[in-house]
Amino acid sequence: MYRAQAQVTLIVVAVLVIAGCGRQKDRWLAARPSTAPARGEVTFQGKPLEGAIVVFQPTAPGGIGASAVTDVQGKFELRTFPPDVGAVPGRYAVSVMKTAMPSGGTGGADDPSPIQAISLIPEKYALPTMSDLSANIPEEGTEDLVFHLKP
Amino acid sequence: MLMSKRSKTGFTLIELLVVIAIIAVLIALLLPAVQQAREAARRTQCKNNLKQFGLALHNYHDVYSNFPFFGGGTGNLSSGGQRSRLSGIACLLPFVDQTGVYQEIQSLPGDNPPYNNNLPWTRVISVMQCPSDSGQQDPNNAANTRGKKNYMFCAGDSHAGNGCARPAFPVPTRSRGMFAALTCYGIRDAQDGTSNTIAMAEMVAASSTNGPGIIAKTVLPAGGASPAACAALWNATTKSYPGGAYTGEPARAYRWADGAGSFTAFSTAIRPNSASCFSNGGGTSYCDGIYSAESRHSGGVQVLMADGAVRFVSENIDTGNQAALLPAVTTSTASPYGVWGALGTRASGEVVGDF
Repeated sequence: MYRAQAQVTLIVVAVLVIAGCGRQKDRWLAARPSTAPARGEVTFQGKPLEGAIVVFQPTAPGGIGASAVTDVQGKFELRTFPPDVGAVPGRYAVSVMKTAMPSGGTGGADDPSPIQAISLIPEKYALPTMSDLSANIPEEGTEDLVFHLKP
Repeated sequence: MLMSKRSKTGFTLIELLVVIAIIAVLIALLLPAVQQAREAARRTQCKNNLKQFGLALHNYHDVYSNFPFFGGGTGNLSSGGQRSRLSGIACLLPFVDQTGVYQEIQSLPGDNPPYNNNLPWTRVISVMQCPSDSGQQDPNNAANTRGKKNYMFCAGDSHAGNGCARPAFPVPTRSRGMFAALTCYGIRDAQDGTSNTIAMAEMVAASSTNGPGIIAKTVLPAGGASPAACAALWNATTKSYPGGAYTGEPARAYRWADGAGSFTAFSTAIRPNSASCFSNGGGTSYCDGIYSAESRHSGGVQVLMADGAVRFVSENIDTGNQAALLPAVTTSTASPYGVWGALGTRASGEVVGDF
């Protein structure tokens, strides 16, 4: 009889613990649109472009854009709500940017003269309206968002 | 018969073990709760400091009919003084019982910019310290550490900064938020309503060379800057910049009196507790940037509204289309960055729901 009581107590405690630890979903998270996996690759002058920022700007009003940085092989995986991967299906204008500070221009002194970053690829690619790059992400996601940039 | 005999002899070993196990489970549940209570107490202290700045802002407004700038002050590069680089938080000192420090600043002789390594710039002022943030010194170079502060001003939903041309001669800039460099806005400028406009928020004092409280090394080009481009440089899981962090100058929170954008302002373009980037082609601390509001509290950041209310904002808040290019600071169009962006602007006419 005692054993039965103890078992019941344990079960009740366990149920309460599990119920209490259940995570509530944030209402902001609940309002987010669903995303599909979207991967691709960027090349410049025929070679993979590493460390470039890729931004997908939705062409339809009310859309939500996505972005990524390319790896050593020039490959990227879009994220709309980091750290979760994926992009909202739809049509996008794409911009690519890669900058570096001029040599020796990493700042350090207080009140130096302004140091401007230089673009390592043609600057038109940084603007979604000028880049001439576009993409469509289907409902089921895609893995071949390939962009070949020219000098 | 057997039952009554057992009850006389006391508990069996099994029963004892079960009781001990239940107590162990309860203690295991309770211990994290104690830790959380400690963090909750620190967070409340942190919130109280923010509230003090809210009262200070309103008392300041009563005296001068406007809020202070986020960065400004006397002089320029050639004339010295404060080199127009004093943080707005110094203007609030007399209103948070720090008149002594304020007089110390006023009595400084000649060329003494707020990043110099001398008093009062090295003072650690308690009302500017959030107890949840344990950062003590600049992780890149401890000698660069000045007094730490954990609170900063909202410069709208676009570039926060003084413009890169600043050192040659001070140029008043505008902003879409409650605060700008060398420009003072007042409650009359908060056309969205003071309860819908953020005045201040928390900032993190970095404890590692690549993590919260640090700016990305990669500079966003002037034309293509968007919060999404900045967020791409940030690993939201490890809370660091895989492509490297900016080490040229001290981490953001370690210069309480410095009025350069990165040290004293943030924009509501990018999600709270996220990345910070230079956004206008220039790569130094006084240039424009998307500087994020950051805290050590889990799940979000505390903000002070312009009406004096302190709110906790979830880091999952609706941030609209992050890929939209940063709006020009002279415009008053609706913010493309959702509820978070709308809260940052003072006169853009968005309808802000519950947040």
